[in-house]
Amino acid sequence: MEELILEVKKEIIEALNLEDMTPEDLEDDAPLFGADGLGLDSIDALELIVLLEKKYGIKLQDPKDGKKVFKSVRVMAEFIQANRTK
Amino acid sequence: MMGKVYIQAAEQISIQNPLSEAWMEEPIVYHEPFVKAVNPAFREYIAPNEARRMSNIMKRALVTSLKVLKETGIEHPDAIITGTSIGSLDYTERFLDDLVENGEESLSPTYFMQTTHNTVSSAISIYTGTHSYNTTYSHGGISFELALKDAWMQFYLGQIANALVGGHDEMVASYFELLQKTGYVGVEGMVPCGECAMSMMLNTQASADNLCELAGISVFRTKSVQHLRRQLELLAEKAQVKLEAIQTVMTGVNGNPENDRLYQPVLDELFPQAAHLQYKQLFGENYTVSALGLYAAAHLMKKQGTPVMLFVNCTTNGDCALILLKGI
Amino acid sequence: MEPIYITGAGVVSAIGIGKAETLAALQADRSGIRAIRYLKSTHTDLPVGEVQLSNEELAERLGLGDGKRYTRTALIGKLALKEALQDAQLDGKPLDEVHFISGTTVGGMDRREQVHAQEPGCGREIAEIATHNCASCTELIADGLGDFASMATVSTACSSATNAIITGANMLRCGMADIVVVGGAECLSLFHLNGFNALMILDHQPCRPFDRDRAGLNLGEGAAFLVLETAASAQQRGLKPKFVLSGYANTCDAFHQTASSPDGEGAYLAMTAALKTAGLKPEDIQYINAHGTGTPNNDESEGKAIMRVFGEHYPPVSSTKSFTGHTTSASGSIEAVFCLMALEHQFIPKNLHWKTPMEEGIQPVTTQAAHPQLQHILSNAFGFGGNDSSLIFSKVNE
Repeated sequence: MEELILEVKKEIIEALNLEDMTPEDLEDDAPLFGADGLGLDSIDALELIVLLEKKYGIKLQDPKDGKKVFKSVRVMAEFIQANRTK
Repeated sequence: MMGKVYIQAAEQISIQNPLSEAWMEEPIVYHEPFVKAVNPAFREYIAPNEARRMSNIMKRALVTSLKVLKETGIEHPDAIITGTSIGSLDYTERFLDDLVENGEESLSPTYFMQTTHNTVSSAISIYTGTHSYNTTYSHGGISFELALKDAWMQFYLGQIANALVGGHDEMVASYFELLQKTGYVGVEGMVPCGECAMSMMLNTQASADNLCELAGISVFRTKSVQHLRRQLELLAEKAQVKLEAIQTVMTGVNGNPENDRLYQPVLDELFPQAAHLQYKQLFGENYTVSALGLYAAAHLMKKQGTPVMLFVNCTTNGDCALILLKGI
Repeated sequence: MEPIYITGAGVVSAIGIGKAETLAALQADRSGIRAIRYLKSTHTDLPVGEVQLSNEELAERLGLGDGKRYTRTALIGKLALKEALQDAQLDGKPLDEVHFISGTTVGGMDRREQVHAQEPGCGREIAEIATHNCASCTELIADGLGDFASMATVSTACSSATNAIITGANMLRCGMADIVVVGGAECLSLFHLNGFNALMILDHQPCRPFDRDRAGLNLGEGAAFLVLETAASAQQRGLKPKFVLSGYANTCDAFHQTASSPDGEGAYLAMTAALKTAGLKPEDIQYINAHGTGTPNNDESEGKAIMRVFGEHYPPVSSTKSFTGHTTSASGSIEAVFCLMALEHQFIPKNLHWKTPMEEGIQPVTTQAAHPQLQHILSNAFGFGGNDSSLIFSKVNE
C-alpha cells in the first residue's frame, strides 16, 4: 500500500500540474478538496476521474462519487487497490 | 459628438524582450523560421495554483493585462475585448492528438475547457473579478482590429470610459509545419513565425502620460486600391485629419511576396513620399501580430513626437484594417 | 435609442430546415433530439440534435457539387444565410454595403479531426488546415452568397451568435452600417462531443431543462442569421418590418471557466442591463426563452437569476434546447428566430421532457396554456467563461 500511495501522489501532482509540489508535500490523510485542502476544484475532480480510468482502468460513472473516492490520498489508494483492472 | 479616445498604456510578450520597450534600442534578431515568445517569470504575476491550469497564451494575456491595469490604476475596466485567431492552440492540439490516438475515452477536461477561444478574455475577468462587457473576436489577421473596433463603437455610443483591448496568439511546432504548407509562414526570405500577446488600455481621459490618440478605425473587405483610398478618405474626414498630413505609414510587410503585394500598391500610389515603418521584422508573423504593431506605433509616436500615423493591416484572406493615430 | 429592425431571418436545426418546418415542429412539440446518426462517434448512447441531412445532401441542396471543400458548419450556415437573405429581399442584390458577422467556436474542426487521423502527407491536409480557423468558416458561409462590405467572427462559445447580434446592432447605431447580417453556425464534432463528455455534463437521455432530476445537456448543431436594419434603410427598400431588437446586454459572470456562479450574478446583470437598454421594466416581459441547457448548474443558476430580476411572479419561461439540443455557438441566433416566431404567431414554445419541479427553483411552461399578448420577449445565452448576454425582441405594432 505504501508504494501505491507514493505512486498515487506522483500521479496526482502530474495530472493536476501541481508544479511546486513534491510527493513529500502531500500528506496521506489530509483532505484533498474543501477549505482545508489543496484548493482543488470540480475540474480537478474530473481530471482525477480521468486518471483513475487511464491508469487504473476504473470508470466512475457519476462525478458525485468523486467526493468519497478523492477524500484523501490514502482513501483514493485504497479504492484503487480494491477496484483496479489495470 | 464623440470625445477623444487615447491609448493610455500598452504591454507585450513576444519574441522580443517581454514587458519592455528594449526592442526600440536593442532588438533581438532571429534567423529561424519559427520562434517562441520570450516568457517573463509568470509566478511574479500569477499565483502558481492559478497558473498551473493555464496555457501559455492565457498566462501571457493575463500578465500583460495585469501590468496595464496596475500602470493605469484601473481595477475593473468598462470592457475587456480580445482578438485571437487560434486561441489556446497548444491545448487544442493536445486534446485533438489524444482524441485521435487514444479514441473517445479518458480525455482531459482541462485541455478541452481552454479550446474555446474566449477563455483567454474570460480569464482576465475571472482573475480580476470584472463583470463588465467581455467579448472575443476570432477572424484571422484582423481579430485584434475587430476587438479595437468594438471598443471604438462603445466609446462612440458613450457606453464606456475605458477599455482593456488585447490581441493574442500562440504557436506550436506541429501547427507551424501545417501552416507552412499553405504558404502563410515559413516562406524563404520572410520574417519568422512568432507568438504574440499584447494588452492596451484605451481611455477617454486626456493626460500627458498617454501614448497617443486613437483617432479612428475602419475595417473592410479589400476590393481595390481605389476602394481602400475611399475608406481612408472617410476615415480621415471623421478623424479631422488631412490626407496630406499622413507622413508616416506603418504596414505589415514581412518579406513574403504574397503578403507584401497587398501593401506595395497602397504605398506606391497613395503614400509615395511618406516614411514607411515595418514591425514584423521585430515581432515576426502570426495572426494577431498587428496588435504588436499598434503597440509599437503607439510607443514610437510617444517617443518621437510623431503628429500623425496611419496603421495598415491587409490580410491574405481579403480583409483590411486602417487605424489613424494622432500625437498628443 | 433608434429602433433596430429585424427584416429577415433564416434557421436550420435538428427540428427543421428553414422557418416553415421549424415553426411546425415548435407548435407540434416535435423534438429533434435523437440517437447519433451522422457523426461517426462511438458514444452511440448520447442523444444529440443533428441537422437531418448528410454533408452530401447539404451540398446538393446548395448546388455545390460534392461540397468537399466545405466544412459541415459552413454548409449548415450557408443554408441559413441563404434563407435570411431571401427573407430580407437581399438575394441576388449587391451586398457591398452590407456587413456580415457570424459566431462560431468549432469552426472547421470537424474536417481536421478526420484528416488528423489519416496518414500524414495526405494531399487534403492543406485544405483542412486552411478551413480550420473561425474566420475561414465565416468566409465559406458567405462564399458565393455575397461580396460583403466587411466580415467578422465572434467566438464566445455558447453566446457567440448573441454577441454577433450585439456587435451588428452597435454598428447600426454608430452609423457604420445600414444593414448587417448577424448570427452563428456550429456543427457537431467529435472534438466537442468528447470535450463536453470529459466535463461530464452530457445527459444520456433527452435533456430535461429545469427538471429536478435533470442530468445534463444534449449537444445539437445548426445555424441561424438575422438581418438587422435601420428604419431609414427599411423604408427606402419599401419594407414593413414586424420586429425590433429593443434591448441587449453583455456582461461577465467572472466566476469560473465552465461553471456559473451559484447566484447567477452574470445572468442577473445581463438581464437587468438588457431591460435598461430597452427602457422596459421586468413586468413588461411576457416570455423568457432561457439558456436552459439542462445541466444541474446552469438551470439552478439561471433560475435564481430570473427570480432575482423578476421576483416570484416571473413571466413564462421555457428552454427550447429541449427541442434542438444545445447548439452552442449558434444557439443565440437559432433561439432568437424562435422568439420572432413566438411574437409573430403568438405562442410560447414548451419546455419539453419536464416532470418534477426543482426545489425552490423556477417552473417552466409545459402546456399550451393561455397567455397574455406577447409583445416583448427576453432571450438568454450564457457561454463558457461566464460570457453572459441577453437580448429583447419586440413586436412592431401596426
